[in-house]
Amino acid sequence: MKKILSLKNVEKYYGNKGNITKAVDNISFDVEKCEFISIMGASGSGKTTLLNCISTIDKVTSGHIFINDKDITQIRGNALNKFRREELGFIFQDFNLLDTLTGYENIALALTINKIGHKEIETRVNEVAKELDIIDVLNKYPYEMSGGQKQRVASARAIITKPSLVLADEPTGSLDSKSARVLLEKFDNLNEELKATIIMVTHDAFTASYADRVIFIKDGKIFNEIKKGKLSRKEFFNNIIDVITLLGGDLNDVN
Amino acid sequence: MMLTKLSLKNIKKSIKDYSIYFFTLVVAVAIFYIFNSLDAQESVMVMSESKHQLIGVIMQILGYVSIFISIVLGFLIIYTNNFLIKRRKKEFGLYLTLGMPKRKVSAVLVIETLLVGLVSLGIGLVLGIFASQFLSIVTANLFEANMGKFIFIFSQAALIKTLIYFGIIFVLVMLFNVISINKYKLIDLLNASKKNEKIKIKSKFSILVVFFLSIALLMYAYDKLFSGVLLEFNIEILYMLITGALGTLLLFFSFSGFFLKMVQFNKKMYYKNLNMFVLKQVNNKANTTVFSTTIICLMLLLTIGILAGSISLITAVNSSINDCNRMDISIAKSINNGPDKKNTEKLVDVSDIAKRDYIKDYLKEYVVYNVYDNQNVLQSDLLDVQAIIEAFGQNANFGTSFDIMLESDYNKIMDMYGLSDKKVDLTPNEYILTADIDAYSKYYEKAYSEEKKAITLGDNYLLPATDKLVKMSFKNSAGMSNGGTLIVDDSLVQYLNAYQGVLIANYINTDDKEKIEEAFIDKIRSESLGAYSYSTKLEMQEANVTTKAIVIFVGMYIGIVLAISSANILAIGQLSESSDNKDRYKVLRQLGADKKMINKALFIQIAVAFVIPLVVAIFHAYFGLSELNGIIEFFGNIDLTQSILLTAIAIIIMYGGYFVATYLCSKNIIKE
Repeated sequence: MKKILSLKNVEKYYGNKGNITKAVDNISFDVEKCEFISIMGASGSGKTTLLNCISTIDKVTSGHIFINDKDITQIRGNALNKFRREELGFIFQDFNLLDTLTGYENIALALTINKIGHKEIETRVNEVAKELDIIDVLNKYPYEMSGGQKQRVASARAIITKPSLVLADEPTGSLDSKSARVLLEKFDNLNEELKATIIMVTHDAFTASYADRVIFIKDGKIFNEIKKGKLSRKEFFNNIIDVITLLGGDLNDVN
Repeated sequence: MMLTKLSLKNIKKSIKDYSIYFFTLVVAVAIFYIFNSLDAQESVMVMSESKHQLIGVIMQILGYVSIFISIVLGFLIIYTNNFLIKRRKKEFGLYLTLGMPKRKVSAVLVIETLLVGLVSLGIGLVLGIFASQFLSIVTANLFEANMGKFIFIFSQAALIKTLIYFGIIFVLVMLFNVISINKYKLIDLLNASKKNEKIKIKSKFSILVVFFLSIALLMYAYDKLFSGVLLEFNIEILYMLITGALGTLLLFFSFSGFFLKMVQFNKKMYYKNLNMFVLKQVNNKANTTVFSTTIICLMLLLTIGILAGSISLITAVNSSINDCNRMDISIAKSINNGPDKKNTEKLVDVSDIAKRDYIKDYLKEYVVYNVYDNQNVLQSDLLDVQAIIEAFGQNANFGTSFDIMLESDYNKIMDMYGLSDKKVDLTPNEYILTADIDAYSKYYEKAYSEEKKAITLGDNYLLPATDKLVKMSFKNSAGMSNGGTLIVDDSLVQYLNAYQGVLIANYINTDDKEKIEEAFIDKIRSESLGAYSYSTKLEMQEANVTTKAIVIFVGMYIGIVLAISSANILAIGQLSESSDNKDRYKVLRQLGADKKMINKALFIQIAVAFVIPLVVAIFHAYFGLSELNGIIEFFGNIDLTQSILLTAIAIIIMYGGYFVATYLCSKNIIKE
């Protein structure tokens, strides 16, 4: 399989000398095409910082990140924007939909920024909307949608540009369990049918169990990594829980 | 001590984002000081007693205007302050949850206001004191006063006045702040940032209805305007203003929605770059800002009106002063040939004055002429009555008889004016029409130039001797005064009735014309002339300076304050809008929109907010001023295009400056 993403000794420090916080401490791993990866860790473990580095929102202190063999730590300015809009798709905990635009327009915006004609926009939006089951909310405004619908619209926006990598930061964080399940099943579909490569940050074991592989992070370092392989989701979920217990309680250090 | 520290930190933090507001405060203080410091400027200038009196009058007028200005500024400062306070709800909520009593939160705000007030007053006054040095040059120029050597001017009275007026405004601001803090509930303060902004979506139908309603209202208002209500000056002006303002309000309310729907029809346009984002953004904001936009538009209308009106008036007065006062002095007196001649036998006529010996001591040259009339030759014979009624309404008065002068008198006057080429040689069947009031001239053109209408004097039919009417005045006056005078052949004098004798003259050449004038007028006073009137060029020039000074000072004062006030409100609104939109721009960046695209989107949004009210105001102002032109025309000739152009430049400098500053600050705010 082709390597989509490759992290080499990535480090991210905060603070100044004398008082340094290593948010990401020498992390390396690879992601192959069509993989669905979960990154798990407690609050403050550095998982979101790591995601921000991969998504070019934040800059690494040292190390290299390669996406499609391109070192993104070396790209600057407009080339970075171009890279972002062509190679990456974002999904956030609080959806980040524009409340002034309808569902359709929110999804279309990702394409208009890429200067794609309105006819192609229409076919592609409808295609993705069907896949994510949001045809009937396309003409609604975000405030008229449920949380699950909003997140699926946001997901549609993230994948409509056919990015190499979809980055999801706690996508189920603001959803009730039913909506979360629906969304995760859609993620599975996207992963399998549309061959989308997904990296998802979460602290929820159930959410993580939908991935093919889970990377655990503690204090900025990789603590463990488990693969689903041929296991059923339930077995995989139990394995994840085991690691979490090993990590310490419900991801917390219990003294 | 802790509270002061907190206040200082707060100011430091907000001064970066709202530097435009502080700038406005400083400029407002400076302008207030400058226009109240005329007394100090006056005292250092060497000029005549009468000019000192004139400056006294101007100062009194500026004093009244200052009250109006302070009310405008008071509203501006309180409005802006309230606006900024509302944005800090969460911060106050935090203070309260940390256990700070409301009393102390109020104290923080009071200290903040005090500090901001003191600093802006201090900087504003220093700026004002320096800038007033430049104004004194303008004043000296206007009054042709001698400044002597440069003296640093400082007006204590203006300083104290500025301190008192702005002191009151800042105390009011403090009161408002304390009241609003005590009104808030903690839960509202904490939840303030979680604005559940409902996007109000208006249906296509209602937008169309409102849009056409606004057009209808505006058409009604314009119809009233064009029917001449400004000149009739009655209650209908009020109807016009109300429907005009309401129409403008509804236009702002519906236009963005209307425009959005129009663009949405063109999918190619709508789904291009960030067009859809910008359009929705503007449309969304239009709903909440419709009132402030309308008020800004009306303020701009007032600003343009005042500035352009002032410029027009000044050019009108300037251009007319020489055309209207072609000689040093003119004395007019009714001729004593009426029915009560017996009672007035002892009185002398101006023609008698001309025979006096002392005349040579004062006058270089003079002409005495009679003004005649004939009850059968009326102004309405040559006026386009229909057009006048259309423009001025039924009350227009044009039933008076023409002034008539004899050819020989006219030629003598032309000789004295040094306009020998204008001399005429008429037959008894010809006449010439002269006038210098544009408001009249244009209604004579049709009958005189196009129809070549004849008049009847006794048995004689007289036809126009020239193609166009002649623009000329025969007496001194403050403005255009010749509303129509006919010139006819001397042989027709038998049909005419002389009702006024006029002496026009130039003084002997001297350095001190004022002295000659004074002495000559004293002489005239000693004659038993009875009821007479005189008018001198020097007096008119002095009056002209006063008019000019009042118009310039009042126009500049009000114009600048209104312009910066409206621009300030817009700027503050846009800046807070930008910080509200931070998250939206973040989303755009995440979607990969580059800097150029985002800055363009930001620029268009701010440009729309600034330009739309200005365009509507200019539109209203242009037509309003064109109508008003009818009034100003009586003072002299004006070039409306020129004054609009000058006003536009002034507005673009002030308003445009705010626009650019807002854009640059906003760009900074939305940065990552």
